[in-house]
Amino acid sequence: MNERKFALVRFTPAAIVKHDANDEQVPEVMPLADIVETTDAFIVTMDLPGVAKESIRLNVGGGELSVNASVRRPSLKNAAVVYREITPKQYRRQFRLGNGVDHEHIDAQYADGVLTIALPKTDALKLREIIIH
Amino acid sequence: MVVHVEAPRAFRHLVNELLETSVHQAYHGMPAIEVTEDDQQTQVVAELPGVKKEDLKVGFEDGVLTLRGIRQQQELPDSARVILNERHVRDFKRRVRPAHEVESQHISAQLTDGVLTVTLPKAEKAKARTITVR
Repeated sequence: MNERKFALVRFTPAAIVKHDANDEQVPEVMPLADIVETTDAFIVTMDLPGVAKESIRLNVGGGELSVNASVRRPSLKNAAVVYREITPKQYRRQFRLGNGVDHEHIDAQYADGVLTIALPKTDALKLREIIIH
Repeated sequence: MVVHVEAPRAFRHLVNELLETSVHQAYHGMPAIEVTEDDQQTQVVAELPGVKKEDLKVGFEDGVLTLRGIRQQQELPDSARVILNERHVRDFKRRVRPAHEVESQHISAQLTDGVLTVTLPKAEKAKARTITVR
């Protein structure tokens, strides 16, 4: 059993910060994520709607994978807000990587507001089928 | 999908009139939206990460804008093991009733990076005007 090889660090999202015109403080929000393990990789899928690909910062180091992204504000200029559930925010989430991840070959793609990160397993972690002679 | 509502309390009754959303749609299948308005148009923005253009339907009928669609799941090999599953939304529906008449043949919609923007131009008689006093 290798239950702890991909331990997850939940980044505590900042308390909801009230936004007003004079205060440009933007709260950090933890994006929703899925993680799936296949035979040779871990696949992390994360909802990052409204993010330009160029603004996504994906860092690996210190045994952690961190994702940061800022969101463009889609509102009309000089418009009155009638109803708002989408507040200015930046996305931030961190995951702890176990020894079983090949840090050199992490691959990421962004499409339709979803970031998909493929973390290949090191050979040591891959399940091997042993052929019985 | 986590929805933060920041509408001021005074807007509550207005919001209830504006949004025709029933309880059973709440939480999973209801994308977060923002509604803004200027003197020419109302703009509805919805967060729809992972939704493709062809899986999204935007309709306008009887003064109500309806957004609905499905989010395709990623295909996984049988051997895949789920470690974390927070992205529950598979299908969604949300309705918004603008507070003014809409030039319905000129509604436009654009889906970029998982964010849908719908622009609903105001009908001529609904636009704000300045009346010259003689």
